[in-house]
Amino acid sequence: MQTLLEVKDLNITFEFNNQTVNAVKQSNFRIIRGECLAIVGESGSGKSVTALTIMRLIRSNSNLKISGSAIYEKQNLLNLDESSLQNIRGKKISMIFQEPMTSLNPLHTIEKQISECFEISLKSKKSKCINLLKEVGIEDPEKRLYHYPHQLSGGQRQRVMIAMAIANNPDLLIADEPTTALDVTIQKQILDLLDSLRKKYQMSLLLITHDLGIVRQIADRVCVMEKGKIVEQNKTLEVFNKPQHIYTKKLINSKPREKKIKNYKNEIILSVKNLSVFYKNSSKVFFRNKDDDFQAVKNLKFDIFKGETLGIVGESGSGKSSLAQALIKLISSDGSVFFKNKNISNLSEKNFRSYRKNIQIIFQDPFASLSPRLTIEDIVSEGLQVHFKKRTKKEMIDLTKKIINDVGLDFSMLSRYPHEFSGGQRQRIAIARALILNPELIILDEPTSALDMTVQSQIVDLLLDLQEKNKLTYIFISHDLKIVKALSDKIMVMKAGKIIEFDEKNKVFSKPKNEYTKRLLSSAFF
Amino acid sequence: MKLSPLTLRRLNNFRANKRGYYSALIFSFLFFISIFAEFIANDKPIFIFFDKTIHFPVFEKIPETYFGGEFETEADYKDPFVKTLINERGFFIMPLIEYSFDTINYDLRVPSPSPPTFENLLGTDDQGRDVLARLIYGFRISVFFGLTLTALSSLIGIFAGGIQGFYGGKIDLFGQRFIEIWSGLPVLYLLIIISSFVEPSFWILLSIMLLFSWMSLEGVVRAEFLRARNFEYVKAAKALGVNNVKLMFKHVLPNAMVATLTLMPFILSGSIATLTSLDFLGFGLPPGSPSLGEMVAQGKANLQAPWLGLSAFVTLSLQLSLLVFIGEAVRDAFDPRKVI
Repeated sequence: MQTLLEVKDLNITFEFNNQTVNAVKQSNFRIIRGECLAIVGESGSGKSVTALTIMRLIRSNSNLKISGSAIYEKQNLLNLDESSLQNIRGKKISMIFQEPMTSLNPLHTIEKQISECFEISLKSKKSKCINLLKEVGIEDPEKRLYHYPHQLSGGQRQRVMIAMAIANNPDLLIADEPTTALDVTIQKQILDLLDSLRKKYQMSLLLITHDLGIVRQIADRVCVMEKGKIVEQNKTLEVFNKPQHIYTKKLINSKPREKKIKNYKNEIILSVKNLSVFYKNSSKVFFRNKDDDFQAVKNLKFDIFKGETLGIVGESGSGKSSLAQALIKLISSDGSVFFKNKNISNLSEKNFRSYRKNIQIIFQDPFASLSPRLTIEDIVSEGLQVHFKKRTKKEMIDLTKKIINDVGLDFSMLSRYPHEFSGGQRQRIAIARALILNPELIILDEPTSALDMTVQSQIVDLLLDLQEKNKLTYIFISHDLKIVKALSDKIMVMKAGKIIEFDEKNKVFSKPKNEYTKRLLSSAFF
Repeated sequence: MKLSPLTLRRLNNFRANKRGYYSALIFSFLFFISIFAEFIANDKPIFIFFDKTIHFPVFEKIPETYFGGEFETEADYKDPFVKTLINERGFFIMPLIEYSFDTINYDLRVPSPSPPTFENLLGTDDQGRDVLARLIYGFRISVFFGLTLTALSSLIGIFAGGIQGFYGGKIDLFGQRFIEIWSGLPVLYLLIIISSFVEPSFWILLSIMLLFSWMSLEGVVRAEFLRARNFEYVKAAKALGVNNVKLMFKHVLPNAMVATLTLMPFILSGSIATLTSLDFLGFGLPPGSPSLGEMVAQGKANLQAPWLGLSAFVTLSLQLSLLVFIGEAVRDAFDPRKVI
């Protein structure tokens, strides 16, 4: 077992606004030739900073102090000069990033970007590019060479990134959350690709991720990081079967509890008939033709019973979010929606306003869904000021305090601003804002996907408690099958705006009928 | 008053830009002084004690006959005869500079424009009026003009941009086409034509320029509104049933304000420069009013009297640079990534 890279006593401290943050504290780990080492941890635990430091993509300056060493081929990467670094970066150690959208230059063709990585004659350049693209599984590589990044899908872009990274047969490939921005089915393909390339070229893979499912699938060894410290380091199987550190146990056991299935056949709360959503073709304003419009949701028809949770799964672009926004009339739609047997889809905005308190929505990104300029009290009590104008100020404050308490926050936080809270706390505030109107139906549009694992399960638990207590009905939209499984009674699988499968949870998970559903289930690691 | 942490952070950021901070202090000091121009440079006394009564001639017109003189017109306090009349039965205090912007000094030893003396610290212009007094009044009028124009054009610009950006679609489309045509109109010719049949007063000039200056902010605000109307917190508020007016003012506008406030100091200096250039060309404020542009024109016409051109140049460049420095500091203050 030959050590490829050894990181010793790595310390990284940031300094800003007279505060010091120890991003990485006394980290020691080594990467063995040919193995896959995973670094897992929640956001802010220092995983990415560690990777960037090994690549020397960040360097010490007045606000950033790096100490320790990273020994590669008897050289300390942390104090190499720029020219010798050039011989290592991209040649011996290369890196792929999370967001394939922004890591390729939009102004250059694929060929130009790949051939930038090696210095050989023009003629063989092209054939090498084609070989590389074949290697990473891109179809029709001769044609793709002349394409620009925007002509490729997210998965294909990530494949091109990988092709660039392996162009010089590196010893070590650092992958920083390589699949986080991708759909589950593509996620699996990319991970399989990385794994097969690693075996073929005998390179080591340093995988940085927050997703334990991925780690279990492909890593040989795992480092668990918590607040800049490596708290546990062991073989993957050992870590999963016998976690030593409390934090590791918490990470592994942070599975949300599952909803008990009851039968809700008594009362239909929402009934959707022939619902379609069109996005107008923006290049034409006059003389528009309906055929030019893009149909995001196609003639959907379904019912939801009071008290149940409908989980909607599907990949990005399948029309889940469009459906959610159409239901509460944030975007216009065709077809009809009945809320408690009353058609609400043809109401004017003014007449619909009184229904708004019955149907609420919670969005994905808790950082974007709270106005940064309002206090928590303003945010949470806003709905009251719209729908219950007659209440006195004292009643409103009391109700706000009660709701804040219900979602597990302290009411002393009311006068603070959103930026003072963590992601999980913000999502609780967003839930409080929706709950204060005492709605009957809540649409949850990926409410947990911007949150860390441990926080995710807390939020799911909270949602389950609230559902039981307030007899709520949920429409839960997510691409994360694990959480959908925990929360839902029924599952609706969507693809390209259509319902592909719609059935009880257990039936969908145990005996999927549709081919696409099967593929979706097999590629999700849970 | 309790400041939000965000505001505090911005104040600190503003102060951290030393040049901008001191520019703001100097500018506010100069502006504050120029507000009281009548008490600093005037041909009337600040204070008269006459016949055991107190008078403030700045606020009241006192005829010469009141002091025992001959004429029923307002007393000319620079007249030695009036001075002796008052001093017989009381006393009076003259301001620091004993000339107003339109006072003509008839006692010059050399033909006007006369060079600086202890009597006229910066000399006189070609009609024998004190340059320093005219500068003080001119500074005030140009800052007032700039501030009013900026305030009004921001108001219209934010309103129009907000509506266009928030509603989008056809309203936005037609609004944009209108602005394209409107901004193509030649403002200078329009001013020349209008000034040929009405005498352009302060307010007429202001309203003509307002017709066109609101467009500078409109684009920025429109862009911010277009962006912000799709933010999740705006959607969330809409899902709560908040009406459009409240959505615009409570949720979207505060975000557009950053872009607006950042641009404002530059609009202010721009409108001051425009007024000055109009005055320089002779299409600006009515003849006789104290204006920096007119003084630059005099400096150009009287190259043998450098004190005219130089003092106007120094005042103008000081005023505009101070405003640009303040603008830079404001931009820093609103930069979310700025680290002190």
